[in-house]
Amino acid sequence: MQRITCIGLFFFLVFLSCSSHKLAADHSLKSVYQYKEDVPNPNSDLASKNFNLSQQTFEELLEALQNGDNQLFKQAFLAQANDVISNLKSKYKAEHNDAYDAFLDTLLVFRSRMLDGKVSYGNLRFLLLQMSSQHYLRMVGKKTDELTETAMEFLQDEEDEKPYNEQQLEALERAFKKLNELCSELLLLNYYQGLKLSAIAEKLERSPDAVRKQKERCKQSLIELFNKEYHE
Amino acid sequence: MNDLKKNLNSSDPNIQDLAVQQGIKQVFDKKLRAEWANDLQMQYGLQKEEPMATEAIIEMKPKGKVISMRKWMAIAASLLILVFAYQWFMASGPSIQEQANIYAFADQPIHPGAVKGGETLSENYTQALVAFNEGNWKSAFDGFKSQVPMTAETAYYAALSAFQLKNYPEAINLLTNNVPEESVYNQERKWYLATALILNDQVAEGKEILSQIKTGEWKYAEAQLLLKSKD
Repeated sequence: MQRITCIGLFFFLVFLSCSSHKLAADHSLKSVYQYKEDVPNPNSDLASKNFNLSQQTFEELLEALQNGDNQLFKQAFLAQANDVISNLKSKYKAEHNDAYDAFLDTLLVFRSRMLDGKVSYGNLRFLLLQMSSQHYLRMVGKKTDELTETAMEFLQDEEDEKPYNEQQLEALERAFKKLNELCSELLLLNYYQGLKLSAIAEKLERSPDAVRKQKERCKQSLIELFNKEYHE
Repeated sequence: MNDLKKNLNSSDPNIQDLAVQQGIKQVFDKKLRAEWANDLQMQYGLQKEEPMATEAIIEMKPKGKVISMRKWMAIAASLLILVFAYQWFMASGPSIQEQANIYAFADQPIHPGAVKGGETLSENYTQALVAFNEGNWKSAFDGFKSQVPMTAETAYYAALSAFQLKNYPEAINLLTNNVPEESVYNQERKWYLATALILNDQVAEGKEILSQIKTGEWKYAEAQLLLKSKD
């Protein structure tokens, strides 16, 4: 009797804990963000394929991203977390943590591909689901032939980039923090935001040649600082 | 695993350049990922699940030993403590004003750069708009406030500028009297009016407006979370 009571108490507590998390998540996910007045009809086919973003808002999002502003991207794409995670769980019986990691990793790749100009308005939802599937399958070491060519292209791009080890990245981060403001902005705009030197020159109101030389100096400073910071 | 040191010090400028690019990307991707994970938890209640202790997994396997009564009691008691700790933590979380302050200033508002209705922008209006997008709130406020006649749009942006200046009484005044409920800014009006009221110590009135934000409307999730915060 005592044992049954304890088991009952255990499951009740687990249920209580789970339901409080689910409630919080449901409330947040119901809030499909709304964008200005140009939000297309959410019932329209094209809108539903593109997270209810109009083409204009997508272009604005891309422009903001290129200028180093991640807010719109974050607002639009984090809202898809439940959709993507649920898809991975139902399609591949993915564990929650694996699906969660696959979603965040995919989002980073998605952002990067958008900056490279490789993502266009059309069916963003399908692409995100495909990419997250491919990322998940690769993560857990499974193979599939059901992915589209586009998704495979992304996979190839991702495979080309090998990760550096943690200690080296930490040293690079410390080195980056020691750069002066101009250098950190310039390197970030060029290497992380993907802005061309001509665009940076315009933004910083300098000549393209001066920016190119400055970038080289900044790069060398970063390498010197890294060499001082990193000890094997 | 790639060797960053070797690549950065390579004599081949292409390898060196690629190493800088990939290194910076990996450093900043890591930061961005952490930021997003935090937002997922704060805004959508989504996070990774804590892994179960290996010992507990072994003991819970059907082929293993039968778990003793004492261990069940210990598990239940631990969970009970966890639930109470969670409740206590939630109760001792930030107040509604602290939370409103976080939400209200999380994102810098941006003027899209076009007047609704396609009218031509006056020079004065353009200056206010530029000041607004540069975060020069005082100039933006003066510029929008001086527009004659004051439309719902100019009043809305003047109110947002006042809000950013933490001049909540002025923001409340403009949003209440000059931005009509039937205007296209109604959803934004409700959110900023509610948060301005809360930050102006008019918590009850602010909560009343928050409760009017309907499912699917702008900032619904934040409104619900604010309504659940302690006063």
